[in-house]
Amino acid sequence: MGTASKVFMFLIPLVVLIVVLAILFRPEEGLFDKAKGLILGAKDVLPKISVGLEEQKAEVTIPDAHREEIILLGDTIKGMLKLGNKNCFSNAGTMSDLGEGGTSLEFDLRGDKTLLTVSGGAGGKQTIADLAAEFPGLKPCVIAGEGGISKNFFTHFIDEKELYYPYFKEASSLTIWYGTSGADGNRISVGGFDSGTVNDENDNFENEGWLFTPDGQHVCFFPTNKVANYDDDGIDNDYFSLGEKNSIQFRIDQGELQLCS
Amino acid sequence: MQLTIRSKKGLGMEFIITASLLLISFFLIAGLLGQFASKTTDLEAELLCQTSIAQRARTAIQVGETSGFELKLAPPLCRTIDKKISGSREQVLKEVSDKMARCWWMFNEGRYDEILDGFSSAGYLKALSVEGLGKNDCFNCYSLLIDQDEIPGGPIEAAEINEYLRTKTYAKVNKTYLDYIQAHGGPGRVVFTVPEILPQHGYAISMMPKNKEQSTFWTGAALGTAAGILFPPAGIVGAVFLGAAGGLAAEGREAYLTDPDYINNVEQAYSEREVSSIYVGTLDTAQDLCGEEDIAGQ
Repeated sequence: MGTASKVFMFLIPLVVLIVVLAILFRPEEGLFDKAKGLILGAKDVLPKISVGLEEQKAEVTIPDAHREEIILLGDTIKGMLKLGNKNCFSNAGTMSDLGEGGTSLEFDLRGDKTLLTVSGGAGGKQTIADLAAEFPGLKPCVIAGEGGISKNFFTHFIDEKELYYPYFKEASSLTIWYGTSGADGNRISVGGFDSGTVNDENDNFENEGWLFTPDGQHVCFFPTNKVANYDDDGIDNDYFSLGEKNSIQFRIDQGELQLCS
Repeated sequence: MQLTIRSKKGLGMEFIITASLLLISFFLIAGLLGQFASKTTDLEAELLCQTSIAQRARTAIQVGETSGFELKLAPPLCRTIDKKISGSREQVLKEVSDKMARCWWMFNEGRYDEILDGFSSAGYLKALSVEGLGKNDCFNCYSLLIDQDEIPGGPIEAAEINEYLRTKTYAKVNKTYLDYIQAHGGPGRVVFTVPEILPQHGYAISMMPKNKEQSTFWTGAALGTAAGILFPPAGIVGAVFLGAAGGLAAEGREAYLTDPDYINNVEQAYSEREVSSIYVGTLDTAQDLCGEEDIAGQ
């Protein structure tokens, strides 16, 4: 074989190799880069596989705003529990939205005292132990319920007419929570009431934080309605807002209703 | 050589005394060993359950994120431990609380959701999942028998147990029982599906791993569930509380157990858990809704 043939024998494979390498490794458009891109892109399509369950971490907390409002509510209630307080009002401040699956409060009458349990944390179902409180002598009540409770209250304290009994209703338990069936908002449920009285209402806790005590022992919450001055579900929410002429705040400012000492 | 002849009567008496002493010793030792073995068995059962649950969590295989599935191959090796409780009111409260905390520990303190569910799925594969088979994917850690005719001070209300859990320290972790169950590992809570504990009655302490992101049952407070205590319907609660003061017989105090609303509420409470929980309920209810068998190897 001549020298020329030998040169071609090495040259041709070399040229082919150079051409193949150029095709494969050409920047961005080379086959190698394209193959790399395909393989890397596949991980976005293929499912992720992992071993071992994720560990859950607990944190039993409620928002600071709720904590402060609950403490204020408790202090306000304690301030109302005096023998000298009769047919007077106090304001615990408007409660901010407790949030779906968030914070809730339950007052539970146990013999001669009432226990407060606050729930929050995971799913709103954990007990916030440091906010649990005991109110010796407290009997929770509401201005709502069957038997003309709201009517008697409204007639005297809002309409300034004669006072008829009963004008408040003692409750074995009260729960303040946030609901989303119907209108979203804070609600109050009353233990011992049937499902058609107060407990089927939507956002019925629009009382701007007003509380009432007839005797310094019972402390009444105000379930509210949106349609009537008064009915079994409570007092019209308008009478708790500053804009209403005969609202509780207005009457207190006029000296017609009494603030608790 | 001098022979000593012993009386046959003496030989017989010696044998009898020796044999008697041996028998008495045997029974004493066997009794001690038996006690030791039974205690060890319960402790071993607790340790085995705790270890197997940890292994099950560590070896679970998860494929995909939002539309994948989860396979737990390591079997949970847990058996229900039977306990008799008796003593003062404080002793009963402590025993119940200790077992609640121990059950929580056995299941790795709520660190893992759906730990008893062997195959679970999410997203598009949910329609193909085998969830829903079996008994609510929960387990009865302990069956407790209040083994006395009376509890000093009367029946123990769920609220009192809850207060005990909230205020007393669980020595093993130096936290209150409630803090331990709610916040030591994963999020947890306590639920009582009975309003009180009565003497000579059986109760179960059950581990209820979280199995739902959002529950329609636990939303709201009309049932009085905000504090994690499931009370019977309002009309029945009055009778039970009257019983506390009026000394109703046990049958009267448990009338709520047959109320259809109560039964329905409890079934839903057992089937849906947004938070891993320790439930305290009647033994019959727990066996019906969580199963009676040990889950070793299932």
